[in-house]
Amino acid sequence: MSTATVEMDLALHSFTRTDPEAFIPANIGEKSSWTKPSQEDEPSENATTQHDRPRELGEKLKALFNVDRQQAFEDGMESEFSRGLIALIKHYGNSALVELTGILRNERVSEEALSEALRWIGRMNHPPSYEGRRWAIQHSLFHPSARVRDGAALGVAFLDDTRAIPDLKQAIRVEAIRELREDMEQVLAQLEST
Amino acid sequence: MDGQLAAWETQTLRLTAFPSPSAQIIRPTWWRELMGDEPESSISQPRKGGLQEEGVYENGKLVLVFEPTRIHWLYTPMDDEKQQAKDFLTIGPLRDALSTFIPLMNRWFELETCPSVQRLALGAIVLQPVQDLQTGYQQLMQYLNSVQLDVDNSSDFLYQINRRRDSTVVPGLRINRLSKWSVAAMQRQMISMQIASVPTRHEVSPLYFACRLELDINTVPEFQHEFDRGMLSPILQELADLGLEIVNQGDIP
Repeated sequence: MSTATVEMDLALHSFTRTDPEAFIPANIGEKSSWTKPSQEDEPSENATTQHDRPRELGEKLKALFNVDRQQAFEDGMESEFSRGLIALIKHYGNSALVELTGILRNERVSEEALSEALRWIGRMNHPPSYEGRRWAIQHSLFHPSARVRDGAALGVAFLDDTRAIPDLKQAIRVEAIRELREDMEQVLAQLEST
Repeated sequence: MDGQLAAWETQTLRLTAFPSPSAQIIRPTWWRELMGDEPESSISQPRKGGLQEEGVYENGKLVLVFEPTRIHWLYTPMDDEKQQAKDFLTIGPLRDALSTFIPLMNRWFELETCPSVQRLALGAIVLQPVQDLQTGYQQLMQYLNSVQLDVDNSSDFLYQINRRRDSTVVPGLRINRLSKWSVAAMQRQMISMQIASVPTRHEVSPLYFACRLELDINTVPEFQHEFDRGMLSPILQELADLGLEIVNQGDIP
């Protein structure tokens, strides 16, 4: 028979809760008498604390982007990919966008998939994740891949938010590909006329 | 409640910076630039574009958590002190901890490699040890003027509020003043695990109690302009002053 003994500090969520999650190895505040497993903090744009992202989220996104395999997309057409991406963002909110921003740097993910993702996150309607989506799209205007930058420009056009103008102007200044620069200038003209 | 500042011990200090979308950070070198040495541990998460580095710093440890959308700097107690500690682990009184942490963060702002920032936050968890739960609730009521608790027949109390204020440093900027008040309890326990049986838990210390205040003082997300580099330090000082005011005076508008 094997025996292990572990000594640890346990902080109590609550004196009245009965579930195992009421005891965790960290110093945290007394929280609630709820008997369901855990009480998540209310999501708030005003709070800045670090939260653990759901473990399964990374795997789901990885499967969606189908690392190492080329995927073909039809311009503007819904696909299993776009539906899956939108569903993940609606379900996981900003956590999905933080993971997605990490994926944008993954060289094994196809540029076409990243570009398609940026178009759809610009196009989707989901106010709670709006600021996170806008950040990811504007950030991608400076991506090393021209194809990804092209998707970001389209994402900016879909969002139609004048707050993107400074980043778009900066992206135009450093854009080396003439056609892409012209596309970006068109988007800029659209925003400036908004 | 003036003069209560010294009663609060610091469990964690956190600075969170939200880089501007145009900031392109591939692999930050801030730790080495700030500390003049390699971190004691460094964990890279290439798929997520993330990095976590940590090492000893003053009375505790400094942790850098980098991800593309947020950068966290944490000042917390050392892990190995948990083996020795009798009750809650802390890094000292709040004012002392801030006077250690803020100059370091100001040096980070001055680095050439520090990214442009569009939102800034200062977080803190502070504790005030008390005898028991009832004493903790009585103490909390001193800080929460609008709260009346029946301390002998209440438990699970949690009070959280955000009271926005205008910045006095940046015109047009508003600041979230989030505070969360509760009483925390801590106990050392021994857990024995045997194969094919339920783990058993033995208490090896009494329960320790403390009033617990969690602060998250941050610039509002609606403000979407890049801060001028030279303004980061005055903004951080303003966030710290607002935090100290809450710790000292309780929940005030």
